[in-house]
Parts: sequence; structure tokens; C-alpha cells
Amino acid sequence: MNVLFKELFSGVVYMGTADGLKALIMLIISGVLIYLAVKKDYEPALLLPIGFGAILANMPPMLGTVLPTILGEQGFLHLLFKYGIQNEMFPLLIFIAVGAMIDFSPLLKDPSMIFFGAAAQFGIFATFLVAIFLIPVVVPGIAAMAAGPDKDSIILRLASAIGIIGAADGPTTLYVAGHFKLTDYMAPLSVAAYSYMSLVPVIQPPVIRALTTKKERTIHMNYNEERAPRTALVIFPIAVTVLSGIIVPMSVPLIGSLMFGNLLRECGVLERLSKTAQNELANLVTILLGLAIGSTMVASNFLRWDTLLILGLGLFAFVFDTAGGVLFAKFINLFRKNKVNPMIGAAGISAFPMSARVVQKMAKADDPYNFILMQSISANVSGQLGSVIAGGLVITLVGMMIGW
Amino acid sequence: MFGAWLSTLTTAASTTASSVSGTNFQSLDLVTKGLITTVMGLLGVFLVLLLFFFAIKLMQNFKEKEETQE
Repeated sequence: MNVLFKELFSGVVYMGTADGLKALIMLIISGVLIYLAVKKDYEPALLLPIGFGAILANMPPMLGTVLPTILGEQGFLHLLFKYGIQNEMFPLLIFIAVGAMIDFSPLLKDPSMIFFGAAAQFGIFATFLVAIFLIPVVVPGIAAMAAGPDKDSIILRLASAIGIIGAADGPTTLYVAGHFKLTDYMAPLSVAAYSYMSLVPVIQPPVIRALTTKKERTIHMNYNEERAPRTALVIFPIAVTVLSGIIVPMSVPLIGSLMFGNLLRECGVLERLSKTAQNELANLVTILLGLAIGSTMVASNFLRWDTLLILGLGLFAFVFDTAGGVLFAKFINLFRKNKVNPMIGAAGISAFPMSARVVQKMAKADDPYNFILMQSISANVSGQLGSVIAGGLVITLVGMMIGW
Repeated sequence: MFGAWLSTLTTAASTTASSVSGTNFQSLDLVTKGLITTVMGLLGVFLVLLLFFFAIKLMQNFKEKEETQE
């Protein structure tokens, strides 16, 4: 009888243990994510599946096992993670969908905006450097490792994935983390990347205001309404793929997926496939990706000091990416006759199209007749390219440093 | 002529890259590795996007051609 009760109420007993209390904390965190999605409308398509995936991952295990059934060897969430994230499949499928949503026309009309997409990657590399110093101090497990190549390897791999969070590019963060086999850190990395993406309207405005004067924010910019030539729109994704492939071969999976999606959109003969990529593919992969990310939020993987480090440095990267873009715009204004509105620089991050919208909203708040949305969109799509190239370069360079 | 020049250049570049990557970098200390990655990474992003810039500038010529055809 005793054994029967123990079997039946093993879940209740588990919740009273130390592990059970940790799981309870994770359930509260999951609740917060779902609250942010439902009540605050912060990136609900991602935060809701992530939150629910985290609930599933923190259910009590069967008696005599460590993980809940759903995360076991044949568990549905385990398989989703293994075949969707660990082998980098979901991030690449998401990129096909994102590519099909992007219109590069504004960029093709004013290519000078592309440099904001490069400048706004400053935070990635600044954070990478800071992380190299902080990781050994904050993460005792790594600090305890013997000095040598193994220690350098994990520090550099983790620092690179943390830095990429700053690009506000969830799929690239997951891709870099997956490539560097950072399975234990996948949960905090993805939660930081996706939650900061959704917090663009909260994080960017104070940084932009702190670095610009009202006079600078009210600079008007001219825009030519006509659409870019169709031939150029078709050739652009092919040219970008070939150029990136020759110069940074490691960026090909990322940029190739993004540009393939864009080619579906621009070729003009595959409207059905383009729409499928933009809607069905994007929605389906988002659901599965969110659940798979949530499944990594097991208490033992998440309630650690390094989670706080990753969240803190992720925010640092995000702030410095924004600052890098704004300061670069101010710098080039020193040499330009036709000044650019320095807020455009902040849109050089990859959060498309949210960052461009935030910049336009701020411009309108200071001057209701200031319309810089198209220039912001140009910088924003450049940021998408910049972050993918940065991801490929980080994988290549860090790979060289650690002999991967 | 151009093919031979390109082939020599590619061979030289790959040989240099493989010898440098294989031997030197892994023996550097952590901070130097970080600094090299940071500088090369930022320069690399600017370089690649600069190439995209020139590619777009070239593509802008299509506009005039399309207009002429119309």
C-alpha cells in the first residue's frame, strides 16, 4: 500500500524536495514569461511557447528517474531539441522565413545605410571582450578548470554566444551556441536573446536619448519613393550569398537561408512559396522553436549564477550595439554635408522591423513631420546582414583560436 | 593569364591561412585571442558590408537599363 501511494503521489513528494522547490521557481519564471506574452504583448509568438515549454520541462519526473518523461531519450521535447536546435535546423528555417519577409528595396536605393548595419555590431565584440574577463570570475566551474586550452575554449565559445545576443538576433545566437556545443547554456542564451528582442521598445529609447540632442533627433532626411529595379532585387540575394560564401564560408548556412527566402519573395514567379515561407513555415517553426527552447529551462540548467551573467552581459551587448550605431552616425555626420539623423544608427541592430519602428516613433515624438522610417528600415535590414556576417566571423575566428 | 594569377593568389592565401591558423593562434594567451577576434571581427563585418555596398552600387545601373528598355 505504501509503495502504491509513493508511486501515485511521487509528484507531490517531489515538489517538497530541494529539486522540487527549484522546479517551483522555474514554474513562476514560466508564468512571468507567459504573463509578458499575454498581458504585455512582448513577442508573444515566442515567449508563450517558451514559457509553456519551461512548464513542461519542470514537471516532476517519474519515480526513479531524474528528468520528466517528456525530456527523456524518446520524449517529444528532447527530440524537438535534438533534431531542431542541436543540429541548427530551426534557426536556419526561421531565416528562410525572415528572408521572405524582408524587402531590401530601401537599401538598394540608398546603400550608404549599410554601414550602420556594420557599426551596430560593435556591442557584439565589446561584450565578447568583457565576457572573456568576467566568465572566469563569475562561473566557478570554469574558473576551477585547469589553465590551458580547454579553459580557453569554453570561455571563448561562451563569450562569443553571449556577444551575439547584442545583435538582437535570436536565430544567430542559437546557431552560434549550437555550433559551439553550448547545450548547458542554451536556455539562458535563448531566453536572453529573445526577451531582449521583444524589449527593443524599452531598451533602445533611453540609450538613444542619452547619446543624442533634440536638435539631432529632428534632422530630416530625403527619401525617394520609387521602388528599386526588379533585376537588382533578384540579383541581390544571389550576389550576397556568393560574396559572403567566398569571404566568410562559415556564414553560408545563415546568409544562404536568409537570401534563399528573399529570392523566393523577389523572383516574382513563386508567390505561393514566398507566402508559405512568410506564414506557414514561420508560424510552424516558431511554435516548435519556442517549445524546444523552453524545454532547456530545466531548473538545474537555469538557476545558476552564469544565467545572471548571461542575462546581464546580453543586456550590455544590446545597449552597446545601439550605442555603436548612434555614435557611428554622429561620427560620419562630422564629414557629411547632408547630415543623417543619428537615431538611424540605432536601427542597425537585427531586430526587424521593431527597431526601425521605434526609431520612427521617437522621430515623430520630437517632430510630427519627421519621416525617417524608410532610412531606418534600410539600416535595420543591413543590421540583419551585419549580424549574420558577424555570427559567421565569430564562428570562424573563435574556431581558429581554439582549433575547432 | 588572369586565371593563372588568380590560381597562384588563391594557393598562396590558403597556404598562409592554414599555416597561421594551425600553429600560432592556439598558443596565444586568452586576452590576445579575444583582442584578435574583436579587431578582426569588426573589421571583417565592415569589409564584407563594404563589398555589399559596391555590389549594390553596381546593381543600381540596372535601373537605367530597365528604364531604357521600357
